[in-house]
Amino acid sequence: MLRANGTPEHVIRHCATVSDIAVKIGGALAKTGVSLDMGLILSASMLHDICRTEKDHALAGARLIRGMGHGRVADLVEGHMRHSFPERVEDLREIDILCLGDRMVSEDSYVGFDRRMEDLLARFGDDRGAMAAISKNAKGTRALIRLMEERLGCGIEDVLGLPPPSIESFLLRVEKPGRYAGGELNAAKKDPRSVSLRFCLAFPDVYEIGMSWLGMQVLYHLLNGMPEVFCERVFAPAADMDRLMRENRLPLMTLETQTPVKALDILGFTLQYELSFSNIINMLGMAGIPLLSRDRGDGAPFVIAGGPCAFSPEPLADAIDVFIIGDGEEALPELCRLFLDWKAGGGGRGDFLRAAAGIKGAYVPAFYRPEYDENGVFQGLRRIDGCAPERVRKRIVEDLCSAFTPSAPLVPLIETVHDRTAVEIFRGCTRGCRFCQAGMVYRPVRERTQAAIQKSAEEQIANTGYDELSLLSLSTGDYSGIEILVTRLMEYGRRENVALSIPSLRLDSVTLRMLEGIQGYRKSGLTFAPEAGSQRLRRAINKTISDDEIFAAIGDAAGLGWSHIKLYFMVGLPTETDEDLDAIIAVAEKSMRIARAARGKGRKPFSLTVSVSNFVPKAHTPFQWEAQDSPGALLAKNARLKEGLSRIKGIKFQYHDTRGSHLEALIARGDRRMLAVIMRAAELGCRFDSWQEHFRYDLWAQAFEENGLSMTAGGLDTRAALPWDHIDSGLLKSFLLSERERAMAATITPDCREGCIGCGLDCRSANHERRTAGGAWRHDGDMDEISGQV
Amino acid sequence: MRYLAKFEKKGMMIYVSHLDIQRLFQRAVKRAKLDLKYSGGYSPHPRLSFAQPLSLGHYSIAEYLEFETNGGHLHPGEIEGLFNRLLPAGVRIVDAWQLQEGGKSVSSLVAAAKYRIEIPFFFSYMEATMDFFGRESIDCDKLNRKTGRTESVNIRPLILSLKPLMVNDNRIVLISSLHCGSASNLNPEQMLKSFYRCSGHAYDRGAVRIERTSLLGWSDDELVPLEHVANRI
Repeated sequence: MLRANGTPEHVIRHCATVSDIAVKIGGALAKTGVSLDMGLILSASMLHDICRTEKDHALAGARLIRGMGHGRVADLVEGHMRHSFPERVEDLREIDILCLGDRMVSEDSYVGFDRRMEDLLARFGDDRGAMAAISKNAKGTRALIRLMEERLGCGIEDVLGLPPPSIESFLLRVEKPGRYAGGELNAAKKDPRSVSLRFCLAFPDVYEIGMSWLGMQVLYHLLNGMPEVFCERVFAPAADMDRLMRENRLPLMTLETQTPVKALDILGFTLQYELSFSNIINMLGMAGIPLLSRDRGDGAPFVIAGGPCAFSPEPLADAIDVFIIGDGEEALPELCRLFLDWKAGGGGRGDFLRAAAGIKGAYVPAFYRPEYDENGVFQGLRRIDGCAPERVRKRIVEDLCSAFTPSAPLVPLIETVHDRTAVEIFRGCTRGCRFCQAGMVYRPVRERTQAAIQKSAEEQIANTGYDELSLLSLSTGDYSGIEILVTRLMEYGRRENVALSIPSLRLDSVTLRMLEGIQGYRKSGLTFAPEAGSQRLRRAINKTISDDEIFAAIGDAAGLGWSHIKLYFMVGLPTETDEDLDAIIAVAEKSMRIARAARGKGRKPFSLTVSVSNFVPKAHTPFQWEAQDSPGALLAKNARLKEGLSRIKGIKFQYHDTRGSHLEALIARGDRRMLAVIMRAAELGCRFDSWQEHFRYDLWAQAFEENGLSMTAGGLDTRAALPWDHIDSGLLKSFLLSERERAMAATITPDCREGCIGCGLDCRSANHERRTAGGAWRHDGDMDEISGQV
Repeated sequence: MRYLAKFEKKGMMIYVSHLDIQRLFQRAVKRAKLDLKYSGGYSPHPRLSFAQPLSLGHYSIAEYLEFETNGGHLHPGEIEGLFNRLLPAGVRIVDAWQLQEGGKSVSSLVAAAKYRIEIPFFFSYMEATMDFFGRESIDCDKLNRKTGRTESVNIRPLILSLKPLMVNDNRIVLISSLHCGSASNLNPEQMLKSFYRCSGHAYDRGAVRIERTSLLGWSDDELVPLEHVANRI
């Protein structure tokens, strides 16, 4: 009929699109009991623009159709330029459905009501009267659409079977759009239909931070190496994108294929720091995944988590289906294979969890129940299903050389925190600093051979084109044969124009000369971490470096040409007194004097940064039972330092937000009741808590209060049950207790490379014979990871 | 050996900033195992530069990259294939030439750029364009990079041409040539903002598509695409 009338093809296409939409919306509404004549909607919407090329096209069209004897259709065509609608869904008539459809289409494509209104407003921009009328009607129409969606129980786009609006339409309106663009070098390209397991690695912070994390590279390529698995990534959308996605009801989507995360099989979070937990809840919410494990039905993805904070998993226990404790390189593929078998076998959700609980290092919280006494004091976690172990022993990859290392890491298109490739040279640490969780839980030390490191480095540079290589470990200077390794890599770097960056070095005179060789004239800066000001307090935390060694190293460094050094300390450490704080000032002052003398005259003036963080008691450390100073007390200590240091010329003082450290301590030792607080805080708008500009302590306080949980990070009874007692880090509680006693007596426990100290791990010490001494110097770089908090 | 390569920036790559594109090419060169020449001095930098930065979010079919290698003869015809294997989707070399040794950098030859700007349709767009282009002066706030202060500048002399075309009921295309380069430069977004202000409409960056279609330099008294101005062999 349209063609017979000579209606242009593009108008016919428009009519067909409007008709499709009107019929789908009308059909869905009819199912909910709205009385509509679907045949009428179909005919009228197909014909509504039959005379669009004529003047007054609605009337002309109606006249034509009426002449053919279709009075009701003609009425609709005549009225289709209307912009106002009834207020109630029940009152909607066929004409309204046609008009709604027409208001959501531009030419022959669906653009949604809002976009169409924008176009209209732009078109009538000159006519203020028309504009006001359009805006007023638009408000009513939006309200009606919301009511319709409520009645339908889903969005209009869902009714239309349309893909939701893409992220791309927002990219010009957000900061750093490259965060959401994907398409990086060495990203996995797989056909989602060709795999049986779609995995999503989730990093609960922004892209630039997540992409600087080596673990992401390892797990991503490890999983994509499995032919049945496609592993994609998702990061926390920054505040601006978060808002746009909510406004447009866009779900959280993967970077690789823009698939809603909810549609994938497994979502795996990394738990790098406690202050990212609100982001995890927020991301689950944005994804449309039920927040609590027990509410997840058969269609929902399994939500798993791993990383350092999984060693104290209870605050997230009810939200996570499976935790992987310890090294993931073997446990994660095992879990994936289990999933593939389970999927092929067609069991229920519980069957998979039961099987997963059998994997070494896997913790399935659903199989344990916390018990509290009548006063609400935690009494322990009781296993309630025999499929799960009494205690979950952390997973250890025995041989790091044969463990998976990516040869072609992802190369972000935008600048990230660490814009370089990185090779892990060993895992674990033998120094035994008593506050350090990583040093405790990543034992034993496992070194990669020089040949393996060199091979990885050269492969990665060849496949990425990076011009900087970083060596990673908890204490790089402790690597057996570090000088030889660095010399070789430097030769390679000179040949290939690759700079070498070595965080976590000990800076004795040998290392300094080595660094001198690396940096030459481009001396970026050094960071040195005595951690405590007085020698007594350093002994209490098991930092072996002496004052003399600190000053000797600073003199050497300044003499060799470094003009900037950063000293890193902690405040609020157990047994700390005012004298210990004043010792920080004294060390800084003397360092400054020595450095100035060593540098001599006529050179760029020497500057010193004193960076201070707040002590946070962490699970599985000898200090796990210790109280944390209140935020006010910590602030007073920082103020004391600030005052003292401000009198010394050339010193810059940096310190962390004490309330953030306070929250970190509360979450780090929390039990299962903490999740309600985190969920409430997320609901109140908390996210990116480690970012000063986003951190809302007041909202967190409200969330604690509403859930009746105390905000005091007090001392714990050494005989009491701890919420992480069921996580077996390999360390004996008796060892942690004896270390605690030695701390109180300010007694050093030697580096265990010098002899076993009986921590409980049965480690082979054959390749750890090299004697090491001195403090842990760090080369600038490793501080950057936490500098967001400074 | 000096080379000039012309490339496009499309798709998701428009969201990658100029500095990140520089890094991207530096890494591509490294992977291509090209023996790139480095500057001397304490902090050596690869001799690889771009004719003109492109704003974030702009498309382009006419970007230029200049680089220098140590000896070895690379045929310009090989450059396209060599790079395109290594570049992400959205950045593609479309042509390459060898340049004479020495001589001016290509960036110093840029004088103007031509843009294709798509904006939402509005009635009276023709009059609005004529009124805007017909003005003797158009004052607009511009950041002076040297002083760091915002100053009122007459941008009208920087607009060489402006022609509207209607594509369909929804879109209008403006074809415009603007001053470009280190001597005198006008960002098309700045021009567009002024245009919207003068015509009384609200400017929505999200509804606009900007594409650079050529970079031009002076040849005698005619503006021609950059490859015709550069000292090609």
